[in-house]
Amino acid sequence: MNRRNFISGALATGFAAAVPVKADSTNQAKKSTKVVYLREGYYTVDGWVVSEKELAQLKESGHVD
Amino acid sequence: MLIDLAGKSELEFPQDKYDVAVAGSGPAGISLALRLAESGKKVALLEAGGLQFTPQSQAVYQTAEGTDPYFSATRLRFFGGTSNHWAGRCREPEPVDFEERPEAYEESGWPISFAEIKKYLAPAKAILDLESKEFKEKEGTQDLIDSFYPDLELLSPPTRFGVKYLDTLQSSELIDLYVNANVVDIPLKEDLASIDSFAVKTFDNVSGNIQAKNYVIALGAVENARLLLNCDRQIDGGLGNGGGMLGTCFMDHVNVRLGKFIPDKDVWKDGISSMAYYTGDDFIRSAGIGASNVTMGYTAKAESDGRGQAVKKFLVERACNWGLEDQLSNVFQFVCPEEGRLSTLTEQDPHRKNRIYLSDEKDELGLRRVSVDWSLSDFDKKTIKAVAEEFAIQAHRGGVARVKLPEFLFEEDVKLPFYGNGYLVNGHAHHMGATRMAESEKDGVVDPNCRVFGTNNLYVAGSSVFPRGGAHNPTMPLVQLALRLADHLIDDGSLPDQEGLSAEQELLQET
Ligand SMILES: Cc1cc2nc3c(=O)[nH]c(=O)nc-3n(C[C@H](O)[C@H](O)[C@H](O)COP(=O)(O)OP(=O)(O)OC[C@H]3O[C@@H](n4cnc5c(N)ncnc54)[C@H](O)[C@@H]3O)c2cc1C
Repeated sequence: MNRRNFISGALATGFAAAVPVKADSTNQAKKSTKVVYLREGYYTVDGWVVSEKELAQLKESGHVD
Repeated sequence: MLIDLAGKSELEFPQDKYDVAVAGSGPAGISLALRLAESGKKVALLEAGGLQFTPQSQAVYQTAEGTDPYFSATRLRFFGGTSNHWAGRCREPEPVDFEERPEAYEESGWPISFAEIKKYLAPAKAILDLESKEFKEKEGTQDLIDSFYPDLELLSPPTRFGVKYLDTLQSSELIDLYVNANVVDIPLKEDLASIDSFAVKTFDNVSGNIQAKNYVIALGAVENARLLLNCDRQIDGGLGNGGGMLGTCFMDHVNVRLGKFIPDKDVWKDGISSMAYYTGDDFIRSAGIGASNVTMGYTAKAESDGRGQAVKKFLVERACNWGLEDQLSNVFQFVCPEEGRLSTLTEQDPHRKNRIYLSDEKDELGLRRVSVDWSLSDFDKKTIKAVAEEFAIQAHRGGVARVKLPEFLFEEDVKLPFYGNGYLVNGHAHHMGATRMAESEKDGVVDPNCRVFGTNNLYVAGSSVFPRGGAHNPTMPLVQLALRLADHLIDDGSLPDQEGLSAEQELLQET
């Protein structure tokens, strides 16, 4: 997975098929993510808007610390 | 008739001929002159520039040092005015734009009703070559996003006023079109309320005065304020500045690159490349914010143009793959394949801090150049942030797209213009306000009939009279207002009322 798709790719593969993820696990560099509270039930992860449930799933899958 | 003043060694204008003298031949001035002539009024239409662009005339628009050149580059000073390069996008104001909403805005709103402007929609559409067309949403826009509805717009060809109306003006028996006729002063009669004449000057430094019963300035928003401010020989602070409002509450529409998005393939089918939305009334009322259009633009392939196309394409593909697109966006504009960009046209608060004022620098004609203070108010920042967040959440809920919001939204200090990390906040070249319409001079510069407070027979046409900008493009409504002003001048056989005259002026009139 390339860097751009690190979060969006995770969102896509995990919850919606919105992004074509060019999976390349050998190249997967985990970078630290920034989570910001937006409003009840919503956060941004590196700017991408996610629901609370999705944030929990991202954490579970190790995409977000 | 067309009269070119260039090269004349003296200026002589007919006496007692004109009902109305109109300065400025952009959309406002030409629409007004034509409507007046249709009703049998005799009009002198005075255009500062020639029939074609010249650097000499354009240089008069140059702003003072320290002011963003954006304010001179986004206007044109020759016959047809800025319509010579407008894009033609037309949108109606909304009734909510005419609500007072004191909980949201500090300054007064429109002192006239929405219906007053709506009345002139059909003739304004005809002027803009849109008579048989209806406002439509962008093809493919889905009604899936709560708090927003599909935006409705119309595209004028775009009408170039100079090109379209030259023949009509030239052949009119009632309109004299003067070109290379710079209006440089508006002398008052002894009562200090009635206009004596427009003082006209050519680039050969030849001067003269033209007289009419009524006078209208239609010079574009920045220049309307600038000329009135410059007319301070007889009245301190300039004409219409009794309440200290002249030049204040200047507005533009804010163009915010709100972020990017990844489209949902189930919704973005069949080559749809853009969708456009507009804020719903309930949302803006409950959030206490201004209106906004949000446009989603999407591209399936890496695209670039111009010289070095192949190199750019290579760089874009690499940058997009490696998450470096924000850095590369600082070098040139592009959109990553399979991604979209969100852009907006957002209402700006009429704020006294945003203003046009005079510097000490002078142009070739002797008029002081303008400085412009233009920033985002707290209200503007609140609008941008609320629109972005709501749109991103609703687009997600509606299954339209996944949105990435830019970091600057969460920062306090966003200046105008703002270029950071591939994101952009700047204007739309929609200059508005600075001679705002109000019930009294404590809140504005012109009355509900567009008459300059403190004067009997001086009027302003154009978006400078907008007390609020909404999130609609300004040209069609300013044409509607110009037609309304024409009707007022056509009906106006009686003496104007005296509201807005200073005590000093009233005394002078009584004696
Ligand atoms: C790139 C661009 C794109 C745009 N796109 C859109 C769009 O899609 N939709 C939209 O609604 N709006 C758009 N606009 C804005 C639109 O062009 C203006 O709203 C419109 O032209 C204003 O009309 P006006 O007659 O008030 O002023 P102007 O068109 O600026 O005309 C003023 C006239 O006054 C003359 N003048 C100036 N000073 C003097 C003087 N002292 N004496 C005599 N004459 C003088 C000037 O030469 C000019 O002819 C755009 C603007 C730009 C720059």
